[in-house]
Amino acid sequence: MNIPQQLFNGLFVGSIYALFALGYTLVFGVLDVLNLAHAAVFTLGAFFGLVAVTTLGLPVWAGVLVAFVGGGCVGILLDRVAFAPLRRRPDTHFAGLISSLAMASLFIAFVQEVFGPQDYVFPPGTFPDVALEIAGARIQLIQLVIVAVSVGLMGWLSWLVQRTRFGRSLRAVAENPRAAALLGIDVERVNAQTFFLSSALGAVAGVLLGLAFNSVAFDLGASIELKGLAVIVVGGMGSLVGAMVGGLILGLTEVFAVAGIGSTWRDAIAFGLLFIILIVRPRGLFGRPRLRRD
Amino acid sequence: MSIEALGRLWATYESVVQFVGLNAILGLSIYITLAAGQLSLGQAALMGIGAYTGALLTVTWGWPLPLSVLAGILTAGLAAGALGVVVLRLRGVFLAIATLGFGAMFGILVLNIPLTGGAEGLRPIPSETTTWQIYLVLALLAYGFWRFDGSTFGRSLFALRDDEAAASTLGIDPFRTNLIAFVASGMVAGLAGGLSAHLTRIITPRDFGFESALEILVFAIVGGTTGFAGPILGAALMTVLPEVLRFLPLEPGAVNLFVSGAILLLVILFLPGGLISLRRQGRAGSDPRASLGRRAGPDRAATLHEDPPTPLPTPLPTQPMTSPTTGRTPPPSPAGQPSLGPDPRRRSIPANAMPLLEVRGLARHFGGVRAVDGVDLDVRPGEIVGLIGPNGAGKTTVVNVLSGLVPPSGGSVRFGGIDVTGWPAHRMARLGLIRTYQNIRLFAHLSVLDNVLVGMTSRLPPTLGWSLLGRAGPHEAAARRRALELLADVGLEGVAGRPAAALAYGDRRRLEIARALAAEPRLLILDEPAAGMAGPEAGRVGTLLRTLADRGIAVLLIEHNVRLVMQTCDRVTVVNFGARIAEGVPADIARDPSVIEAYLGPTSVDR
Repeated sequence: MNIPQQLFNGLFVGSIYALFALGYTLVFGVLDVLNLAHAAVFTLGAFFGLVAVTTLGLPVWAGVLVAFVGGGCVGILLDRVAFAPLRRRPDTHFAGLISSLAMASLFIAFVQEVFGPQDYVFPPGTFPDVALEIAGARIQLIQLVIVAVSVGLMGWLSWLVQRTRFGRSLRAVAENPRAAALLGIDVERVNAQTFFLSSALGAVAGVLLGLAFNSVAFDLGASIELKGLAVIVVGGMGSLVGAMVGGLILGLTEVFAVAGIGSTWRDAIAFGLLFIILIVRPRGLFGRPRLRRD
Repeated sequence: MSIEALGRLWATYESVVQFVGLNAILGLSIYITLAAGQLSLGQAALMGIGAYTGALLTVTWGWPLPLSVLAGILTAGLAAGALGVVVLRLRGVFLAIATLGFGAMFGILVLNIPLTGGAEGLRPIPSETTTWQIYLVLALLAYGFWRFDGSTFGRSLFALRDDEAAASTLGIDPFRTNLIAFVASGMVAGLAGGLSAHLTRIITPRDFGFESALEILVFAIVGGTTGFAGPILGAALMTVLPEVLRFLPLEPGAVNLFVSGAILLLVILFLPGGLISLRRQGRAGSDPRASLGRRAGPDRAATLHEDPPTPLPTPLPTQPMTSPTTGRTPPPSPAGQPSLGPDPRRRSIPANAMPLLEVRGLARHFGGVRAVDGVDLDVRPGEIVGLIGPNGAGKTTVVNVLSGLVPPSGGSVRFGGIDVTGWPAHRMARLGLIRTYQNIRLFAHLSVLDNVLVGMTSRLPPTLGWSLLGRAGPHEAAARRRALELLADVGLEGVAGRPAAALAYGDRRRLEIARALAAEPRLLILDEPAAGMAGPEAGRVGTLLRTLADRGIAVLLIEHNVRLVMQTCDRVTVVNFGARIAEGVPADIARDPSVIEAYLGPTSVDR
């Protein structure tokens, strides 16, 4: 087994999982709801990038930027339509989950109607086809760039949450929205910003995955949706570090399992990890314990 | 229209009719878990387990259809039980994610074991399911669900959905009840799977994947989860709709997805009770926005009249508690004789009587916060003990620990001579330790009567068997009579059919006390029962407690109304900063310097 090669492959897949899972966990951590439209936003992001590069002829970095901004706007739309009207309802968790599912159906139906069921590829030469040899591992330049972009975005998000005024408002709202509102924080604004960020990151993850495998189709998000959920549970619901570490753990485990025992059971690994964590440590690796019930 | 034309129409649409039936069965399967407030997205996989089990038995060993389907039902039930044991400790979205994971695992398993035919699917399965079989099964299930709604088990599930903690402190075991619901739900899904495998003649893993799981959820949500008719209605609508939409000149996959998404969104935003709430709204004017959750009472009000309330034999001797909601007062007691208990004599508790509750050195820490730190407490049968202390002294934590909602960090609790330290809430309740809540925790979507009946759950044998036979059964009938008596005792008999959420504040307090009494407490813990009550009304609470104590019930009263405590209690325990600072008869407590200091701050005598 070529260990450096496997390590890099695991890091590569894991960084996309992590970037995707960050969006899930960000919304859950701040608003305490699960946004099941996240995978649909991921798919939309890939198509935003595709259209920007193919139809508009923009360079690939601009395609990623288009996905970021477009995805963010979809996130705000999601918040306004599917979550904001439900916030005062007593069953808001449950209702938000259902309404986000409904939005996911609408997004995917839209993509299917416009683009049909076929696979799309990026135009040749979108990205220079360069391979590098590092420590015995053969690495595509695009993979390296994807890892760098993912890690960079994760670092940027951590900085945003930990070191800025916006991050402080965000953490205050996550802790206690009522208290935050009493202290003069515009909670609705923070909610919208959270959705923008979450969906922007999810959309970028989508376009990166599309670029990496040079294939974009309406069911792109289906493969990653459940794995992303497994990642956030493994990492700890609402924990940003947990999502990043969880994503990397899943990526590495999958790659080494495939190298070790073959690809048959690759997709089972995420759920195996999920169940182990649920049994052994239900709050996840980085989840905070609840001090008080009620 | 000629017979022939009808025949052709039937030939074209028979399969739609069949799928309406099958999907209705699936909708009912998820309805059971939703009734208990659990969102399970593993239904499609459980259906798949039933389908593959049945199909394999038929194809490989030539089993007849009924046996294959039965085996599918049992296998799916077992799988649901195993899944439930693992995931039912989780709540809300965690449970939803875990069940999704289960579904994904099932798909991967089926794809990769040779027995199932992998992605190609299992085929050909002899086609044996007929339309009338599907509808016979559906009719039987619908009947069962109709009866289930009024059984103790049905009520336990609805109570858990509304407030799990309150249900468990009335003796309902959340884990066991949810597990039974999970297994039942898995069996119904397995049944649908077995029937569908023998209808479609080919099954593939895709039939039981994520999309199918969501589809089943959509049936229940669109139809409504406040009654068993909802999922059936939702399944019918969502199955017929694509057939109608096929006539539109658009890409069918996208249109179906769009329409189902749009309907789901509209329902969740504007009609959270689902389609069946439209009917209810028209009939009883209930608020459809109440919740996704339970039906809100009016239906039950109608059924109530099947059992005419018996004339009240013995109203409570206290002064009538006027109900602001009804404006009615129970008839005054003939001679002020305590009639609730067998022993009308004035209390005389021997000081050396065996305490019912013995608490020694009780402690509960939250992280570094010592909310309770060494409390001793004794309560004897027939005695009213007050537990007082300044705000934040740890009184409510003591109650939470005693009632089993929060495990203690240290110390011991004995109840009736048994060491019950660390027992869970439902076991404490079954022993006879019943509590009320400072912030009143009723089952908001259940009727007033059903709230009281839930209180009796742990004292009643299961009534589902009787219910299925179509009768109230002797226990249920007696329970209803007893519940109406208890309601009359607190002046609420006129509103028995109303949803509990519709009551005024004072009535909610009274209902919570009636519900607690329905659970036949040996020790009743009341957490600020007179909060927000005016003087005379609080006095009536005191009289009620006296009556209960005279019946031999031990009472632990947490209260800020000092006058009520001083007038009512036999002994008072004072806590501050989580520890006991004084204990004794009310008159001594009122003079105790450490108590005065705790309430008023360091004394200012020598100022």
